[in-house]
Amino acid sequence: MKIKFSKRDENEESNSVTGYKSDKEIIRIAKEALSEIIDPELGIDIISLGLVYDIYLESTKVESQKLSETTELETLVVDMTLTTPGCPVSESLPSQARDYLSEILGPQINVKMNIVWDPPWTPEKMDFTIARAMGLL
Amino acid sequence: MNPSGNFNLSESVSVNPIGGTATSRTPPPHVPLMFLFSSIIFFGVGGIVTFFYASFLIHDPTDDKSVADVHLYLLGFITMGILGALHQFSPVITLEKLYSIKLAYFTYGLYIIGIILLPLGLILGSEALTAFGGASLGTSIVTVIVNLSRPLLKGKKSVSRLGLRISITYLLITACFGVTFASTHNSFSPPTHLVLAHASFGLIGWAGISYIAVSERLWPMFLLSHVNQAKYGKLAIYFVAIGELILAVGLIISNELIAVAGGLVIGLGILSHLASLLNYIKHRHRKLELLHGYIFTSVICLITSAVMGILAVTLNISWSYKEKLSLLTVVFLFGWLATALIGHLHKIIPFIIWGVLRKHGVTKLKNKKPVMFSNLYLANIAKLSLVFVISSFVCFAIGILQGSVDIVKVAGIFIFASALTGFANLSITPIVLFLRNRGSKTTHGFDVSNRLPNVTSVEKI
Ligand code: HEM
Repeated sequence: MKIKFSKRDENEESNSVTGYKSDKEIIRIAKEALSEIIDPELGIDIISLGLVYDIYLESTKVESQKLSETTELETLVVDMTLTTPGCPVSESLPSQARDYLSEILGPQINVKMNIVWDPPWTPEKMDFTIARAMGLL
Repeated sequence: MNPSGNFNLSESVSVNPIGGTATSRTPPPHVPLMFLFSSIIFFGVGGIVTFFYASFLIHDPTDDKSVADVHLYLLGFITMGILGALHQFSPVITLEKLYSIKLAYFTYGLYIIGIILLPLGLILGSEALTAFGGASLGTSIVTVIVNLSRPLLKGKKSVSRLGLRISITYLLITACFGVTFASTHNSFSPPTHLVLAHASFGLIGWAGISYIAVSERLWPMFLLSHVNQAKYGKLAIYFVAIGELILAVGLIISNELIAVAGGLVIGLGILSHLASLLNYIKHRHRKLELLHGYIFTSVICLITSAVMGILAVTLNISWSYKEKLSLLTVVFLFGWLATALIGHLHKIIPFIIWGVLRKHGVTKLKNKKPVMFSNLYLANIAKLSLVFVISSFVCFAIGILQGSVDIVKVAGIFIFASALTGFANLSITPIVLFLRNRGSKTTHGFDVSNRLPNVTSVEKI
């Protein structure tokens, strides 16, 4: 479980856009939420499987044509991979994670899932204590 | 802007230069499912036809009734199953969508018409039905090639794509022979060596290479086995593809030496395929489970087929024994593909249905645990289906060697039982789960992708 956090993670100050206490709190909640997303083939959550490479926040300016105004918005970015490129759940696992994060974090935070193939996932990235307990060698 | 006054972007706004975001490339789930479930039905129908025409299969494998049964198995079951898997996987493997979803319905419709009319025409002795069925199947195969052309021509390079490009070419050649045979069936009986060329193109070039290609993608996933290079898989594909070409040329020009040379090269391909499987098993991170039971049985069938083929060519025995050994070679080649396909259907169908159930809010079991693929069928029934498949091929072998019609009839019953239990298990279990959990839309199930406001530009700060 080597999740790398971006600099924004160090920001302990209250975030005026999201209303959360700090960026760190948002990332902690996100990580907890992601550990509830289970790979339906292996029965292990995606954090223990080592599929999540990075979680960080990004600020984005959005211009709305209709309201002719610019608003700042916070985006939680999750870099995740899959056990195999072309894996059958490749379409559903990230969108399941995104939907759940959006729901947990609320409408103030936009969620973006990046599917990353570099570095490729290897079984060594798994949390072996959990993997063994779940019957994986 | 959403009701709470905040902007909310869907994933489609963001672009990642490395991997890209997840967008749906696969066709709607019912597209592969209609092919896959239909293939199991035709497996069962094949079993029924085996039961009624067992004596033809044993005493005259070239009789029209035998040909009808052979095509229910090889076109109705194996080819349809592979086509279902390709509609699902080729877009995922190559990162390119199918050409058109409507075309997939068209392919399916024509295919069903063809696979009903061709055997019916052969059994009833109707040249018109046989010709129409053959033409319908041939057209359907052309449409599927058009539909897969985008993923297979433009898509991401891989061993699987290479194998599928070759196998689909062999399918086209098989169909050209088949449609020609079917269109002139009652008036012209094609020479045996051409029928054998057609059979080898279909069984080895099309079905065999397709399975090798797809398994190179599925095994790492199902065995959780990440070997760095798929070198054995690549070798297997090249050897089988080249060997099949040599074998077919030998058959077409009736040159036994060339045909045997082709067979030897195919043998090297089979060895590479087995080496690839061993390599994946050696590096696996999962305990052996049901699928592996199916895979090992299929490997035993493949090896038996190869041994029977070698014995048929090398032994100095009577013509009738040679004929029996040749028949067993084809039956066990079919056993290899059939067992592997039924086993993989127990993986492929649940994960497609899993997505459908999620969309309908069925994400948790009664005990509040998340729904897994393995919850979508009963493991014991799946084991029973495997026992039925194994029993059917044992009966085929004994029946053919002893010339016993009754034992081959039992083989037909076992095939029917395997198809019935497989179909019921893979369909009823998810339906029960759906009915039990209907309406209990859980939080994981909802979709937030439609919350995009009228955004014109996005700029990172
Ligand atoms: C458009 C598709 C196809 C059509 C219309 C077709 C039609 C036929 C016909 C009419 C025959 C009988 C030839 C004769 O003896 O008069 C035949 C034989 C045969 N075909 Fe096909 N075929 C098709 C595809 C396939 C495929 C895909 C396979 C294998 C995967 C296959 C395997 C065989 C075999 C093994 C025989 C020999 C059967 C026996 O002698 O009992 N065919 N085919």
